[in-house]
Amino acid sequence: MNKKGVISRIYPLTKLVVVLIIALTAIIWGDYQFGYFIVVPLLIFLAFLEGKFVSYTKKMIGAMIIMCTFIFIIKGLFDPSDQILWNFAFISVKKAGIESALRLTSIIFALGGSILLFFETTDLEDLMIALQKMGMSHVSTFIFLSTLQMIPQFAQKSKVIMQAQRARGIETEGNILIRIKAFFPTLTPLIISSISDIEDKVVTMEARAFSVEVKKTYMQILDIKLLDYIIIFSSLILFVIFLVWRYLI
Amino acid sequence: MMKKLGMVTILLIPICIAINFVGGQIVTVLKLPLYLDVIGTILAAALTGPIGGAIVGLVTNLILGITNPVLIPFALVNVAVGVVAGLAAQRGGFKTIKGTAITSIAIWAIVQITAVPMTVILFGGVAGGGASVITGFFLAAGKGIWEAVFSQSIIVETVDKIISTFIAYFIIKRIGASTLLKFSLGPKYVDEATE
Repeated sequence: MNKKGVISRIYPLTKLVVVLIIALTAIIWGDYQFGYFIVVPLLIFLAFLEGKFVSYTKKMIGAMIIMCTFIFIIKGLFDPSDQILWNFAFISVKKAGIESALRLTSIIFALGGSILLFFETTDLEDLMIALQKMGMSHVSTFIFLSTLQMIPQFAQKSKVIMQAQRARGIETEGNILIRIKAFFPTLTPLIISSISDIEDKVVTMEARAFSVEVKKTYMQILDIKLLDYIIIFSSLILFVIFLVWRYLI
Repeated sequence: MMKKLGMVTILLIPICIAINFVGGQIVTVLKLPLYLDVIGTILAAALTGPIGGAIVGLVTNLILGITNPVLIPFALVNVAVGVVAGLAAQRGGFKTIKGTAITSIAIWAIVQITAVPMTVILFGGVAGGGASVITGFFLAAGKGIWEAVFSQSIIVETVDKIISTFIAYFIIKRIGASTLLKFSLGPKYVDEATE
């Protein structure tokens, strides 16, 4: 618990507000220079403060670079406009296409980057406690958290099942038809066994009064501090000033 | 809305979301040129109806979005798949092979209707890695952006969604009657099995 970085210690919803404001500002501004030269460096700087510089930039690039490259290729080469920026042999890069690709990718980077930063610096359990305190049903938070637990379990189990089926003689390599046929025997035992487990889980959960309509208690203590209110209000005020400046002046 | 879901449905939802994930992973291990990442959504819809399917679709893409935020808008496609599959299931869409075939066409259609505009409007026609090469191919052949994305989507999604629906159908057939009866739409499939 004490190993958290500077940003991780802030209340989850405070971060959510700040991150949404950063992303909204980038969208409303609409200028790619703002997205690429102010928002993205700001996000990376915040990740650096948290001590997650390497893992954050890696994730950001990994999630968005392929998509953005294709946006540049498709918009740049196939824009219907006439103004040509460069010409190589039979390929001509269109100016309007590159400009719209820059705008689009800067928004994707700003929005996606903000969301990534939020999850990179937020413990999901903390987020769920915060959401639940705001009135979200404990069923929703349960679904979310138990899914996160279940995915790696399933991945592990499916490997075991695939090995067992291979030992039994099911081919997992060869032509495409053989490989498609291997899909079904891998997935079915996994699904059937986990669906049959549901009943035991229902009993367990009801033994702890899961569906009883009372106020729930928490294992962890998570409180909004004065600093959180200050951050929320100051960023909201800055955002309003920005809106006024953008649309009224 | 959440309060009305039965305990069994609540516990089925995380399983089905995990199925969506694992389906995609098994496809990678077997090196198949498919996605097969909505089987869980379809299964939840078939067993519990449109609401269960929609929740599975939504949460799947929200969780995918934690590591790849670009996928969050595509939650709409996944939710639409859940709703359509659920409505079909309420009308017996997963009871027979014929019904399943019709359901699979409905699911395929809703994917085209939701995914194509989203890809064109939000991402300028780009929908992640490999499929974009096909879009580029059609654009180079002189087609417009809508036509190119639509052709790409038909090529990539058709086989995928039909196989996914049929996998869900065959899985339901394998689930024992005593387990099936616990789900809200379960009795539909049990009557058929005893006949």
